[in-house]
Amino acid sequence: MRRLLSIGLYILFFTTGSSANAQLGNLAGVAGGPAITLSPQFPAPGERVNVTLEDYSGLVGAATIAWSLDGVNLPEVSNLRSMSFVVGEALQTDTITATLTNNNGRSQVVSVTIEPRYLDIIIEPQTFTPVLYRGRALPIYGSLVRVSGVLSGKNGLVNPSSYTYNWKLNNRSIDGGARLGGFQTLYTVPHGRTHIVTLEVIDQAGLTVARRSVTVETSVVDVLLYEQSTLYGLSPRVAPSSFNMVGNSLTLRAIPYNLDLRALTGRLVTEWSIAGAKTNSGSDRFEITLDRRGAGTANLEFEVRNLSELLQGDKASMAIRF
Amino acid sequence: MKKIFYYLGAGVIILGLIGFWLYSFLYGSPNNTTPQFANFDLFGNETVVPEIVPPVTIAPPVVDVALAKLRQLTTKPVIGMRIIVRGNNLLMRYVEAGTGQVFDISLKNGMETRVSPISIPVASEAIISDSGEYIAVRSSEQSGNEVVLIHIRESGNPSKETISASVTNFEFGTNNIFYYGTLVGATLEGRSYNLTTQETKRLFTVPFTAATILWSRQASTSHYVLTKSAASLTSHLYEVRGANIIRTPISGRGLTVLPYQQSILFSIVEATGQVKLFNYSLVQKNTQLQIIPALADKCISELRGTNLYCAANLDTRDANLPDSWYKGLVSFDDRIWKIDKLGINSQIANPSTISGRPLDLNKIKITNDGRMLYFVNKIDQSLWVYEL
Repeated sequence: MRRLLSIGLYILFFTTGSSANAQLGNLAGVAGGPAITLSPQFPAPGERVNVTLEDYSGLVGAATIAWSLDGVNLPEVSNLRSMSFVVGEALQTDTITATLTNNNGRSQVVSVTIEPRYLDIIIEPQTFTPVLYRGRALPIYGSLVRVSGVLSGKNGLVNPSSYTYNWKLNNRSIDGGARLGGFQTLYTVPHGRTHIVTLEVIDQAGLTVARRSVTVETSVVDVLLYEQSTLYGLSPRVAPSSFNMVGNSLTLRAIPYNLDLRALTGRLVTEWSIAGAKTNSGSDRFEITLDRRGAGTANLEFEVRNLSELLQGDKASMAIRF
Repeated sequence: MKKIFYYLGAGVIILGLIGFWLYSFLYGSPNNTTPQFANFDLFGNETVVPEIVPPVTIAPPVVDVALAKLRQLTTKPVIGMRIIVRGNNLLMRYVEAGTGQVFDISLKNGMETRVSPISIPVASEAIISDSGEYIAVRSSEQSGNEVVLIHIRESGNPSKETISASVTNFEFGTNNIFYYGTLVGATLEGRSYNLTTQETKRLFTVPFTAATILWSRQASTSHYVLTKSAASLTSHLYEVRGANIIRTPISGRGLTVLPYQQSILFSIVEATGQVKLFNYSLVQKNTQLQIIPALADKCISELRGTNLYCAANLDTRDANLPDSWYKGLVSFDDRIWKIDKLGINSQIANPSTISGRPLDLNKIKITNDGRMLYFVNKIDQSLWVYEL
């Protein structure tokens, strides 16, 4: 099986007869010597990582570059300044080494040890979906999102109280700065089609153990109408946009997917209308029962709007033949 | 003319009228469609056609269970079902949507009987234990979180009890264990409830709530926790080992998962909207792409064999899956596919050509011997069985 590779924790910087340590690959060349940079800097297990050898020391005449992985030479990438590979399983360390040899036979060795680990950012929008809905609620502008950082260790999820969590939303700190044990936080969805949530986790030694960013798409309220049977309950399918009323009465339920949960107990306006005329729905404002009187066609419409956040709203309509 | 002739004539007329009245009284009014006129003669040689009155019997409803490989068992909406064994008879036990009443259909002779008259208001979701003895039904009447356990005994009336906790998803395990998830603050707890001893245990906790627990029905395999799926959000899969939560390598947008034996079948949605189905081997730790673009939600594995069965329609692009299917915005005209142990995908049935209408397979199950698939058609929630 292909050998799995690594996370960047430290770099050993060797010159003939001397060595230096640094925390991360892209910090290795502080003395102006060659350095290895990783992209992403903290890869997840099984993720492809790009490795680049950078040398700004002005050393001229580096004739060869030899790459090796845990001491095994990689001749297929010899003399390349960059390469890529898929890192290994969680918390299995591997060392990638680049050896530069110049015309004089003098060599410099640069190494990076990578220890990949899972850090999941779990987005939990505080918006509405029915209990039986198997999918996840989606974030809409102005709604709250609870976000959790789940870091895995050797025996499962780590105890978050031992780590410091630094959350950012669109590159701005969410909690005003890093917090010890702050694996969970809340933020309000900003304007825009997407926003970026970034989390950096730092251990008790002050070393960054993982960093992740996720791009979250902003959704909208999505109102759908379902037929509600008195005997059998809610239909699992959305009512068609053109509905033939067969019986003498028809009950419809509007489900406002992704509506801000705070709006359900706040300043929420709901409105049913038949052929443009507003109508009362009864005790449950998301449900309406229609009784047949005569024959014809009418358009039924339902609208919901959060008065505390006017961009949170939607309407659904259907033509009913009766 | 003597008066006697008048009296005789009047007597004959009166007797004739009395005779006609008696005939009409006994046989009713003659008409062109009844044969009594022809049988009425003066010599008493009438042919009596006996009236055949069919015996009145009250028969239970009978379901046609023997004509085709694909058979519709109910027209009523069904929210949970399981094939159980009673003697040498196979019974399809199912729970009716809305009422929560439980029925059995004999797969031998098609007779249907009601085995639990207990009504669960707005019953919306149900599961049945392997033995069929226990049934859990969710009522959506109030908050939508009340789950009622029904105990059906061989003799005596069924009984019920209500799970006090706010239940997310639930399943029956072996040895009369009822597993369920419950929200505790911003965490999700997995619990077990022993139906015999009525003991509740906390099994594990995950630090988030938007998750589905994939309960294992086998004691030898792990439970899994999947962050809820959405086409626009990344989901992750975690394995529960004892009280530890281990992250698996499986994640992706629109992730749906079917853990089975030593593998995990999973589907993700690519940026193009295309569904991709993969099989991940827990032993070899490699992933194999499958040809069919099925949601893993619409697949089932044999209990002891190595075959998988999936329902899929090849055109699943641009449907915002799985959200749109979960919401009931889209439905499929599914084919039934088999994935064998070599990973070969082959279509084994096109249900719509047999039934004459599209079937969107949901809640797919398979019998322990691997001979029958049964499922609910999501379009009308009717119950179907397909013989493999």
